[in-house]
Amino acid sequence: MTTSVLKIAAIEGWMPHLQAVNTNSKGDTLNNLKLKTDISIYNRVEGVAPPDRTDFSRMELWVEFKAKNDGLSFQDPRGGTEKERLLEIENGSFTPDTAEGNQGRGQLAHYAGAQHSLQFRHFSFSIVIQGDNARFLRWDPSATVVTAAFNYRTHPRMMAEFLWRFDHLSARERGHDVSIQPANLAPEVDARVREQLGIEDKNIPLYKYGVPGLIGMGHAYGPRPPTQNRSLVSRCTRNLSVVWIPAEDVISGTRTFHETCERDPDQQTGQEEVKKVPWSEERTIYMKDTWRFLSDSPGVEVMPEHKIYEILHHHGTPNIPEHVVGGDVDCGRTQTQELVDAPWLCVRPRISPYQHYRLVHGIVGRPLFKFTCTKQLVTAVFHALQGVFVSRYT
Amino acid sequence: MACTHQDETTAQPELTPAANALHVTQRETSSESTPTKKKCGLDLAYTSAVKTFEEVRHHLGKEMNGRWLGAMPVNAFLDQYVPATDEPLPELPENPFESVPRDGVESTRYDPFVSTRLISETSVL
Repeated sequence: MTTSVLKIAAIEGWMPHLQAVNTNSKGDTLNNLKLKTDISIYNRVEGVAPPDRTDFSRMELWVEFKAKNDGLSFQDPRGGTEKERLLEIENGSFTPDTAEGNQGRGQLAHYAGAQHSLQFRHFSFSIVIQGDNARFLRWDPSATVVTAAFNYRTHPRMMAEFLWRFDHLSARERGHDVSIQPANLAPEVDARVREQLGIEDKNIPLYKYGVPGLIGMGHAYGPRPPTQNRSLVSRCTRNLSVVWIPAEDVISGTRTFHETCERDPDQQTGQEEVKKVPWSEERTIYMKDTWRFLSDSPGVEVMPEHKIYEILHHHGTPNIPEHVVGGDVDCGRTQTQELVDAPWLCVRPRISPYQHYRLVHGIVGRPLFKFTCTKQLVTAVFHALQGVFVSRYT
Repeated sequence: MACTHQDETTAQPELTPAANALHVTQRETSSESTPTKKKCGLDLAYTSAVKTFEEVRHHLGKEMNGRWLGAMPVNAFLDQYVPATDEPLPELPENPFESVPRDGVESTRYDPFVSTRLISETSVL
């Protein structure tokens, strides 16, 4: 029996829906990354072998091993009294300020950033094992929660409980953004979308994006946003062109924009006006996917971008997208900021809450560096300055 | 930059040296992603400075300073973020991780770890 068959056979019954693979020697070449996790855990698919290598676009969970015992990247508080704990907070001792500790934490952030960059995620989990000590981590764009270390040899139930529970979680509970799904388009529609977006490689998968504010009116279709292999904290903005395909009854005119758009009921009414909004017909639109900052001060609301556009339109600001729709993505609010007062915290957290947010508008621009003559460049800058001037000074 | 123009298919003239310079500058400082503190992208399409993993991880580690929230008690973590399933955890075998080596290089531990039976034979099915 070969080693790989042995591995797969041996973990039967461990995680019914997942498969763990030793991926330490095989980097993620599928996604043009040289990164490799020690162990990658993938969904179990009946009759299909899991990837034999690191694949950040498919992994559900990753495990990182360190031969040395705990204390390099994270150091649990040792003091028992309040005074000692405060001193440890003061010293920032949970994350030792050493080059080795910083590298270790940076490595973990590197993996988590790659996973979030190559998947549609609100949060994710991972396991770090240093010597005999293990920790669970939960990553979201506000911060990363790290558990206290436990000896997984002497307390295997903790490890088993985590894996057993994780195995049984739904995709949403594991952190997936379920507002985005594989496109599954009919071949002729798939070809049309690829042509409109200039995607020649048929192996590039297309996805169906739900657009808050236009729920029920159709979907946006496009590839995965460009990979940005960096830390996942903060706004994590990704922009891309997508093709908007309205629902059948919107195209046929049996349903009007007025009837279907709950957020802006006064924006458009009547059959004739329906054709004027970008979402009433199939076309290329521009999408911005980001995590918008939420104020953690009581009573202070940070205005979402599409609301700002409404104000700018109201004041006649020129040279900005005419039709802008956006909204918060379901279940897309960070949770780690709720821990800032936790009694077990031994760091001074600098974290802000974020909300996953998606916005579309009908104008698909092109990069400024693609200007074809100087006049074009100067005109573009002039128009931008006009918009800035009116929005600021009128 | 995913932003494309609808006339993208039309032939673009050769860029002048100045335009080429701007092209490079734009790619280096692309505002495609606007997080306020991001300085350590490894996405080679948007930088001319190839960074080693060590450099990237150094910056990522610094960037995450103050954002590691610990040390959360394991049971509290499980209860808050990993809800229990209706199916209770089956009985565990004794010392399930016994086969994972304690000493030696860490790579000797991967295979035994993924092969560990956390659930005893008798409790499956």
